[in-house]
Amino acid sequence: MIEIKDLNFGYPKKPLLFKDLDLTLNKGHIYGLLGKNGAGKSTLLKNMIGLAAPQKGNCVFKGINVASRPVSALEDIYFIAEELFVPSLTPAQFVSNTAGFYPKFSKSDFYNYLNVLDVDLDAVMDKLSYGQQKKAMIAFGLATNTSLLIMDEPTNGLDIPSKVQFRKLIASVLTDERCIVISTHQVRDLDSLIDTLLILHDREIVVNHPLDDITEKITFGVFNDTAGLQVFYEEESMRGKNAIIKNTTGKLSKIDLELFFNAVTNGSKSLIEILKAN
Amino acid sequence: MSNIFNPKRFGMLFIKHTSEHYKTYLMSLGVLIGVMVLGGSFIVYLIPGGIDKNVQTLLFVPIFFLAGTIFTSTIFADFGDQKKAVATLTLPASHFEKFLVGWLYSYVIFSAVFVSSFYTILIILLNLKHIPHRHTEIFNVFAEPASSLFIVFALLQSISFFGAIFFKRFHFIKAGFCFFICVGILTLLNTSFIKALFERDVRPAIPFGNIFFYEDNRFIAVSNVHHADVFVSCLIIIVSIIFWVAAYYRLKEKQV
Repeated sequence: MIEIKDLNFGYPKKPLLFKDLDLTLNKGHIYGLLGKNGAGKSTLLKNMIGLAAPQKGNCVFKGINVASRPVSALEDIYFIAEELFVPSLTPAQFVSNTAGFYPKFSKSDFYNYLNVLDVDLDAVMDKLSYGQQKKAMIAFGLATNTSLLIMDEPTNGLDIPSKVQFRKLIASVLTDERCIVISTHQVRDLDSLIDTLLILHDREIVVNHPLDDITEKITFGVFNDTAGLQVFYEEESMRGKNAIIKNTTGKLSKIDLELFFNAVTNGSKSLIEILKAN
Repeated sequence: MSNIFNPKRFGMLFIKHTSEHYKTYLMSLGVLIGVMVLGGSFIVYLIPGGIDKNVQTLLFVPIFFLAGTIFTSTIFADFGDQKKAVATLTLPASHFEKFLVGWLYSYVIFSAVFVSSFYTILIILLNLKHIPHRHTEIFNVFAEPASSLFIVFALLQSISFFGAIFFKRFHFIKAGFCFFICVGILTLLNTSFIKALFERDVRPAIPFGNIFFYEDNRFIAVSNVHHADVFVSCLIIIVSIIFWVAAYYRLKEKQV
C-alpha cells in the first residue's frame, strides 16, 4: 500500500528527523504509530501524504510518488490532522461541496457516522466545540472510503464515550483493501484497536510488528519478584513490578502498550533484538 | 482522470472556493462600493463643472490598482495558515486547478466586478448632479489608451499574486515592500546606464520612461519613441507571465 524508502527529512536549519528510514505499510491493517514528543510522528505522516518533501528517498503510495501530491493519490488518501480546519458550513453543506472529490465517498455512511458519534447535523461546523469538530471530520474521513486513512492524534479532544465510539467505528471500517494509520502519544487510546505497532525513535522506526508477533515473544505482567526471570524491562508500581519478560509458555498475554513503549524508548536493546529475531 | 486539469473537478473546486469564501468576498465588495460612493460623491460635488474623462480616469486607476492588489494578496491566505493549508493542499484537485481558481478570482472576476461597480456608481453620481446644457462624457476603459490599464494591472496583480503564495503572513505589505525596493534598484541602475550612455547628468529615470536633463539652462525631456509602447506592453505581459508561473511553482512546492 505505502512504501517509504531511504527517507531523509529534516526541517531547514535543523538536524535530520529521519535518516535512511524504510517502512512498508500493507492494506488490511490498522497501524498505531507511537513516538515521543518531537520524534517526528506528524512529520512522517506529512511525508506520507506529500505535505512535506523529503531531502532524499521517497514515499510511494500504490506505485505513485506522493511528493508531488498527484490527484490520483490524493483522492484515495484522507488525512485527519491534529489541528483541524473546519469551514463555516453545516455537515450537509460541507459534503455537498467536498464529497465529490472522493470517488468512493458514501453519504449514507457519513450521516451514519455522525449519528454514532453524536454530532449535530444542523450545526455550523466552526461553531461546534473542538471535540465535535474533530468527530465531524473523522466521520467525513471514514466516509471517504479511501484506501489509506491517516489520523494524527485523532482522540485529542474527544470525551470518554466518544473515544469508545471512535474505537468501535475504526474497527468496523477496516476492510482487506484499506489501511489505517493512527498516530498518538496517548497509547491507551490504541488499546484493542491497532493490530500492528510502529514506534518511531531516534530518527528511525525501531518497532514495526503485529501485536500478535510481539506477544508471542514477550509477556507482560505484574510480579512481586522478577529474580530468575528473563526480564527485558521493568517498572516499579503500587502492585509490584510491571515487567516485560520472555514468553516461554507460548500463551499470548495482553500487551501493555505504555510499558512496551517505555521499554523501547528507554533503550532496551535486548527487547528490540528478540522482536527482530525470527 | 487527468492529474493536471479536469473540467468537472475544476468546476467543483470553483464552487467549493466560492461557497467557503463568498461572505468575505461580499464584505470586501461592500467596502469597495462604500469607498467609491463616498469618494465619488465628494469629488462630484466638489468640482463645480462636473467630472470629465481625465478626472474619471484619475478616480478609476488608483482604486483599481490598490483594491486589486490588496484583494489578490489575500487570495492564497489559506496556504499561509497551517490548519487551512493542510485541508487545501490535500484536497484532491491539481495544483493547476487550485492556481487557476485563485487567478480567475483575483484577475478576471475582480476586474469584471470592479469595472461594473465603478461604472454603476459613476453613472448614478453623474445623473444625480444635473448640469444644464452640459453633456459629460464617460471614459471607456475598454478603448485605447485606457485599456492598457489592464496590462499594467496584470503586472501589479502578478506581483501581488506571487507574494500571496510566497509569504506566509503580511502578504500585501511584504510584496509591496519588495516591489518598491526592486523599482528603486532598477531606477538606480537605469539612471546610471543612461548617464553613461548620454555622458551627462540626468534626473532619475525609470526603465523605458522619459529622460530629463538640463542643457544650457533649458529643461530637456526626451520621450520614448511611439512604437516603444508596444514593446513595453509586451515586456509587461512577459514579466507578468513569469510571476504567474513562479506563483504556480511556489504553490506546487508548498509544504506544511
